[in-house]
Amino acid sequence: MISGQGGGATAPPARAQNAAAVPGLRRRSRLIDRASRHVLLAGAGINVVVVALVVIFLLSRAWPTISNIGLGHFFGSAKWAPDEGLGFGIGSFGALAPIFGSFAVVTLGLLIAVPFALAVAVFVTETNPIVGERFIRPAVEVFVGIPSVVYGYLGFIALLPLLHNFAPPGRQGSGILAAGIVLAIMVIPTIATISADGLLSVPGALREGSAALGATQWQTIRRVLLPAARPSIVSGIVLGFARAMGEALAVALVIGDVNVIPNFAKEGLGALLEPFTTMTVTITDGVDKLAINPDGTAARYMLAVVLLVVTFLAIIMVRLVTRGRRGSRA
Amino acid sequence: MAASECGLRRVIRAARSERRRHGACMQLRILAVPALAGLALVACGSTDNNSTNSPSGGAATASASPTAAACATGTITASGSTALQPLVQKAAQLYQAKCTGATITVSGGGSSTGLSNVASGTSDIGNSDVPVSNAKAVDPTTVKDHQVAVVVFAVIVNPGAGVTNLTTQQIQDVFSGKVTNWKSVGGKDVPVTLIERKPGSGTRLSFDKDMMGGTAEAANPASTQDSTQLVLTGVGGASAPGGVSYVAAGSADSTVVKVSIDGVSATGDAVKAGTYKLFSHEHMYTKTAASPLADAFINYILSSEFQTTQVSTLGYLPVATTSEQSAADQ
Repeated sequence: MISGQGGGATAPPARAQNAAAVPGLRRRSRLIDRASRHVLLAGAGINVVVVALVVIFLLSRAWPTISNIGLGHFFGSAKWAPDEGLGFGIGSFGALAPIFGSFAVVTLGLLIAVPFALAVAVFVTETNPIVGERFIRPAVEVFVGIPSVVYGYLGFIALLPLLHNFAPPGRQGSGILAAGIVLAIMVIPTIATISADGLLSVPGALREGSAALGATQWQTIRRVLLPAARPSIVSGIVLGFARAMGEALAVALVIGDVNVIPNFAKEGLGALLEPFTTMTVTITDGVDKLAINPDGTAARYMLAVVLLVVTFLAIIMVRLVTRGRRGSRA
Repeated sequence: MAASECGLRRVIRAARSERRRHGACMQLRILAVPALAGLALVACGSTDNNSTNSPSGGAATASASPTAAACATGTITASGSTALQPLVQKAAQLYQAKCTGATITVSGGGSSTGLSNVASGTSDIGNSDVPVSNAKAVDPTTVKDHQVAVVVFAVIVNPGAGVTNLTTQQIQDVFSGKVTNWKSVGGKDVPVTLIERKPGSGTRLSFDKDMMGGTAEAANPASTQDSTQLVLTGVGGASAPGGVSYVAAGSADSTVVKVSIDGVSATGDAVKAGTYKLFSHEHMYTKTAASPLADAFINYILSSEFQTTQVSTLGYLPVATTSEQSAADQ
C-alpha cells in the first residue's frame, strides 16, 4: 500500500490525487487476486477429478468380474483363455499367471537396476563430479527420453539371440530374464537421477563432519551420505517400480506372451528363460476383442484395477517413508 | 514517497491508455473472426448443396468400373480386420479419386470389432478374416456377406531347420507340440521353436480350421505374436534356428522358407486346382439393407478392374481364383 509516510510540502496534494486512483486499483487487484486463486484451484481440482473419474470408470467396468467370474477364480486360477469361442461365459479367466508375471519381471528388473543406478548416482555426485555432471548425467537423462518401444525392439533383435544360447531347446530366449533386463535398462535413469538429486541435497555439514572424524570417502558415502539420502533413493526406486509395472510394449516384445506359469520347481533358474506374460501384456492383447467379449473385457479391466491399486500402494509407501524421515529429523 | 506516487500514477495512466488502444485493436480483431467463419460456412454450404442435389447412383453392375453415373455419394465407414485394411484403404483411395462425392473412412480394430460394429450400426462395412458364424454375439441373419479376396497362408520355417515339405499330419504334430526336433520329420537335428498366433486371432482361427482338424495348438509354445513382421523376424532370426509359424503367403520374405504341404506349394494355381487347402476368403459384411454407397464401393472392389490390377499387388488373390470354400470359411 502506497500511503505516504510523511514527506514534504508536496505530500498532501499528491496524496489527494492518489486517493482517487488507488481505491479503484486496490479493489481491482483484490478481485483479480481472488479470481486467480479460484482459477488455480479449479485447475488443480480438475486433475483430481480426472483421476477420480478414471478410477470410477475402471471399477465400474471391472464390476462383472466380481459378479460373473468371481474373485476367487480370478486370483486363484492360472487358466486364462477368455476368448474361447469369442462368446459369453465360455472362457476361463484365471489371472494368476499375468499377476505373478508382472511382479516377477519388475522384481528382477529392480534387483538388476538399483545397484547400477546407485553406482551412477554416487559417481556423478561424489567420485568425479566434473566428468559426472558434464558427460554421465546428460547421457543418463537422454536415456529417459527414449521411447520404450525402442528398448523392446532392441531387446528383441539383440538380446534374445544372446539369451537363446542359454535357453532350453526350442525356446527363443524370451521370458522373465529378458524382460527383467530390458526393464532394468529402462528404469536405471529414473532411479539414478532422483538418487543423485537426493545425494546432492545432503547438507555439506554432514560431509565435513564425517571428514573431520577421519572417514575415507567410501566410508562417508556408505555410512553417512547414502543413509541420509535414503528418502530420495526410496522414492526413486518406487517411481522406477511404478514405471516398470506399467510398461507394456517393451515387455511384450521380449517376454513371449504365453499364459503358462513356468515351473520353477522343475527347471530351477532355467525357468527364467521360459516365455511368460504380464498384466500389461494381457490387457493389450485383448484390445481388439473389447466389443465382442464382455466377460473377457471385464476381466481385463480388473487387471487394470489391480495395476492401479499396486501403483497407488507404492506411491503411498513413498509418502510414508519420506514424511517419516523428514519428521524424525525435524 | 511523492516520487513513488507520481510514478504509480504514471504507470496506471500508461496502462489505461495501452488498454484502450489495445482494446480498439482487439475489437476489430474479434469482429474479423466471425466474419471469416461466416464466409467459410457459406462456401462449405454451397458445396454440400451441390453434392446432395446430384442423383446418387444405384448399385453398379458387378463387372463395370465406376463410371460417373455409377458413382454413389455420401459418407460411410469401414472397420475391422487389420489384414484386410490395406486393400480396403487402397480401394477407398481410388474410389474417392474417381467419385468426388463419396467419403470413405477405413479403420482397423480386428475382425471381431468389425463384425460387432456392422451389427450395431457403428460402421457401414465390417471387414473380417473369419465368417460371422465365429462371433456368437452377432446375429448372422442381420448381415450380408461379400467375399472380396482370397488370402493364402503358408507355413514358414527357418532355413536352419532343413525342411522344405511336410505332410498335413506332420504339420499337426509340429504345431500341437508332439514333435520337438526337426530330425523327426526329416530335417536337421535342431529343436523346434514354435511361434504361434495369439488366441482369438483370425489367422489362427483359419489355420486351426484348415490344417489342425480338431487338434489344439500347443499350450506352451516358445512365444505368441500377432504382428506379421514380428512373426517373420522371430522365425527367421538368430534366436530361433528351428523357428516355425504361419503367415499370409504374400508377406513371407526371403529370410524364411515357405514349406509345401503334401508336395504342393502355396500358389494361386494350386488353390484354384483345389490341391492347396490352407486359404480362406476375406469378408466385407454389410447390413442386409445397406446404404447405396456401401454397395457401390463393394461392387467396385469386386469389379474386374480392381481385382485384376490391385488385389494381387497387395498380396491377395482375386476372389475369382476359386469358388470353393475352405474349411475356415464354413
